[in-house]
Amino acid sequence: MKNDKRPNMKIIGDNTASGGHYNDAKIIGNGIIKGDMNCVTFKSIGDSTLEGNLKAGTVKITGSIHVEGKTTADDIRVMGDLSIDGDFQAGHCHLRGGITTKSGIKADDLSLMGYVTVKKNCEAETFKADGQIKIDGLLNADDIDIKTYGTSRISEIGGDRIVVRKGSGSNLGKMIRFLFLPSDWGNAMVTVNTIEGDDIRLWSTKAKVVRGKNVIIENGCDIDLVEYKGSLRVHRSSKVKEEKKI
Amino acid sequence: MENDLISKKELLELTGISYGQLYRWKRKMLVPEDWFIRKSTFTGQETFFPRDRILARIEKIKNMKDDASLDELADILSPNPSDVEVEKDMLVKEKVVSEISMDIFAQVLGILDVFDFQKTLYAYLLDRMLSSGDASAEEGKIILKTLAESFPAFEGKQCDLLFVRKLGVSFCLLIEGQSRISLDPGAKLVRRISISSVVEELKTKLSNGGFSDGKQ
Repeated sequence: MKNDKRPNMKIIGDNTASGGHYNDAKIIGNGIIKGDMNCVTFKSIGDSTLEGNLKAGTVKITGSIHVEGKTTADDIRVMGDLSIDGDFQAGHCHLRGGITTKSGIKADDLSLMGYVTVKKNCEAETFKADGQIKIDGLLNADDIDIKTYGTSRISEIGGDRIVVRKGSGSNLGKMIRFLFLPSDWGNAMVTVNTIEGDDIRLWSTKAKVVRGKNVIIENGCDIDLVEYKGSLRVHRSSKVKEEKKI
Repeated sequence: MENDLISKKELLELTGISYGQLYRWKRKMLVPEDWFIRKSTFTGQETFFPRDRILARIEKIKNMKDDASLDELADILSPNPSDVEVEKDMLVKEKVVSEISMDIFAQVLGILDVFDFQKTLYAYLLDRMLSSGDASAEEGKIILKTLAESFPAFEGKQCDLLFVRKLGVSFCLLIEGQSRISLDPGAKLVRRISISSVVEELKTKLSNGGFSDGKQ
């Protein structure tokens, strides 16, 4: 995809550049790009702002970046903070730190450690997240694996295989909690309205409705209604108000 | 809006597909987002679908998915025009568009030798309106002009073409799909065509006709 006609861009220090078509774009320090950015590789170390859309083959970010438009990339790796005002579309997505978007996410596979805040729907083939998740729309993926630290809130989850579990946390934290705080304080929990999938396995989940083929409810769950086709197993410490076999 | 809805649960039972499949198809946009209708019921919110259309669509996906990959299917079923180019002679020869319609098309939008998908769609719609006898040649021109001017703005959305006649005066409308319209009693809705389904039909026709890659 390398194109010899395109120039390279480099910002070192504190500077502003205009958008356009580039081959390699690199920012070290504090960069502001005005206009749409279209490049083969985009790398940013430090703090940058993009006043326009970002379209790139590979994106690598260490530090923080704010994109005021849409972001489209084949491969994106972020160590730090990514905030996007528009839609976010990516092939392979590897995020360590956090991502905030005012719109939706569409990715092939998304692996995340940290926090994610999405205002609309989040779609991926595989969704793997460790951390705190807030999705106001639908989380739709074939394979969903969530490990929650702190409270996560997702409006709806739909997919094929869905696993929600609780992050273990550090031993010291556990001891402090055990000694000084009420037992349910700061408990990691995922709150969802509806979960629909084929194979569902849940830990520490609070849900109104869970619908699936094979459902396993492990400990720490509080669910109003479970509808299942195949099998259902409920851990004795979990609460299920109503269960229906269809 | 239609009243005949089917709940998600009933749909899965009826068609034998799983949640995973339904969500996968939704993700690939094989099932349009605006077919998911949310309604509150006594168990909380539930999702409903327009019954006839979703059943037909799922039947279609099930039949075609053995031959085509999901991405190819998505391309056929999406309301967005695909990137095919077809020669004019080919369209006439394969009876996609009749010669007479082609002449009218040339008068309005100029003489073209190669048609991209959008132009093919316009010509195809024109041909449909003319051959069904719903519109005259002059009226066909109005339709073409409306399409050429306004259809691109509907990109990615479901869109319907309406043709209305009152006291011998006719006009043509483009509206967002499935919305309800009311006309005054004197006016007559001659024809309503869902462009999205025509797009689907045309795409299938073009790919089955063996000239999906254009110049042969």
